Amino acid sequence: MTRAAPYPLLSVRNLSKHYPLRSWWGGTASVFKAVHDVSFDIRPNETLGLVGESGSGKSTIGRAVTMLNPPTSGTVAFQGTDLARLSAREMRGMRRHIQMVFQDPYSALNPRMNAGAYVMEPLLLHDTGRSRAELRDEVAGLFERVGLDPRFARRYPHQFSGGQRQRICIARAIALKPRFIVADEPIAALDVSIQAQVVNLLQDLQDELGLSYLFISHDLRMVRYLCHRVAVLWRGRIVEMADSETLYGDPRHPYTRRLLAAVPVPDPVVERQRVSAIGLTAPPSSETGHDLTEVAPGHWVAQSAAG
Amino acid sequence: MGVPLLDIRDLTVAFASDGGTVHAVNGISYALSEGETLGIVGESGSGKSVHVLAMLGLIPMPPGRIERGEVLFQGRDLLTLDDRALRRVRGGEIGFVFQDPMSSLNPAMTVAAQIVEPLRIHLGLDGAAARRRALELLDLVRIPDAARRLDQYPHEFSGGQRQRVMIAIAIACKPKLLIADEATTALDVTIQAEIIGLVRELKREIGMAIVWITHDLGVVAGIADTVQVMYAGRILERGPVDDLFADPRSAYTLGLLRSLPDLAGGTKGRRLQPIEGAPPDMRDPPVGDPFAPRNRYATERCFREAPPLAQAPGAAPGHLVAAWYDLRGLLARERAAP
Repeated sequence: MTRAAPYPLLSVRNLSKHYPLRSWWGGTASVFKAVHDVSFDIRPNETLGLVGESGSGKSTIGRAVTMLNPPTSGTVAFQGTDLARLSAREMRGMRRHIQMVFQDPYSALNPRMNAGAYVMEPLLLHDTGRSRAELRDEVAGLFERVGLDPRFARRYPHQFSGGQRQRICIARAIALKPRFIVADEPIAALDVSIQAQVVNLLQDLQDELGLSYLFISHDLRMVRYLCHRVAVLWRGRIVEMADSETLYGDPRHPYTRRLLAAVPVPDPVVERQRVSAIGLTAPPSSETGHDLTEVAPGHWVAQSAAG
Repeated sequence: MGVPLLDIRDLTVAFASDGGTVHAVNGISYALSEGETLGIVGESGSGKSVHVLAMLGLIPMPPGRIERGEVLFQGRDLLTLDDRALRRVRGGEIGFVFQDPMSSLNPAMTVAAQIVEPLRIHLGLDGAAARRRALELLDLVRIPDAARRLDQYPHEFSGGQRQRVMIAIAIACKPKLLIADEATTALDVTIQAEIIGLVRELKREIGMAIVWITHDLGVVAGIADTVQVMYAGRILERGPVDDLFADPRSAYTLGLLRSLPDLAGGTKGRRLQPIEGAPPDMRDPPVGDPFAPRNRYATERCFREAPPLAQAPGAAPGHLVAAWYDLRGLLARERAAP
């Protein structure tokens, strides 16, 4: 599936999302920088993990690169096309290549629409002129592909478990054969035993369809497992980015170290040795530099921490 | 061995619903000693939360109904107490912390007022003494600048600090037992680590027993003396923390451990091993071992008859499992096979 691409599939440069904070008389007092000056590439067939804690700007980036909530400044180029310059009509055409999967499959689904109709909807909007019978066959194929019985197409959202609902959302997301999917905490609402099922499915689909993912998650164990590269966000900026082996094996930024040190490990022996060390890693000061420096090939760290 | 602090016997809880009766907790029995930390692991629908809410008298009845059982706390059956008596136990001898600190705290009351309340009700402290104690408590849960923070409202605290305030309220009356239900689930991982560190320190200082309910096996590994794995309203496995993680005897426990990717990268490039299928519909729970339909080691008997929770052969004393199959033997044979 991988072709030699002259440019990355997705290229994000200096992306910022600022919100004006209004003072009580209505004037613009200051701005809240939800995301500031973020740049990264995603290659074809690649998964980039975006990690960070609540308020770090993870979801804001996901919504900005899909133009659901366009950035204040900066560019998002998909296959070389600057998405911000597209007309509404052109952007609708582009949507078939760029899809999203969200955390809560229940609120994403329409309770009054059966699962089959929900998966068929994008096909009706984009692939006009095909017969109903053709589309129904296509939907049945999508159900099978995500591991659901095609007979479930007539059922309604409340008749499915959480894991099944997320499979339905994934079936809809891949219906138009996209090149790129933003998955925003897609397993966070699922039970532990179901999470691995959905992650395996995402991986299978990547292999079969040549997909790229932006995988937004606070689950650092799953990010290491699934992602080729990882970007660590802190207060709206990327503080460290590297391939996942390097990032987890040789974290350089104090915030990355603190984050990784805090992940509980399902091994009581390890936990007993480690727990005492948590308090010792103080939170990084806000004085840390902002400019990313390449400390090793492909390993970027916010400046003053690297120096 | 003296009388256990908490002794739950055959507790059975059901809920009436449109689709029929939901059998949420199905005859569970376990005991907790003074000062012991019990970690309860389970997924949604396992009964892990419902059974503690039921024993604290916090489930709405109807639709909830306690069908059978006893909950002996210091020898007294909590299920027979009237509301007044139960309120004296709750927040007094038993403190509790739930997942969402924002909805547990009253947004219209200062933090001081909320910490002082249990001190006046349960310990009968007067205003000045209660306030002094409230200040000590905020110090104890490591809230900086406690004297100033005391008169602030919950919205002025961060999520992690709100959970610290909840813990301060829960331990205000030096409870014998602290129950925490997914107390760190909504928190960021670094804040979670701080809260767990705090609870471990408080346990050393106060000496209370803890029931820590979570879906996260990592959290349990770091906090529990004893671990109990629940599924479909039953206890499938229970044992000392080291033995249970090193030598799991329930296929469900093993499945949970194997479905987790390794932070150290050991699982990279390998396919994750999920537990196939989904938990049962508790309106119509399966006869027999509730995990059998998802268990590739299940025998015919597992589908017919529910196994009792009993000492696992060859495991540490007190390591119990409810299984008709011999997981250790099956795994040994798998390893020996080419």
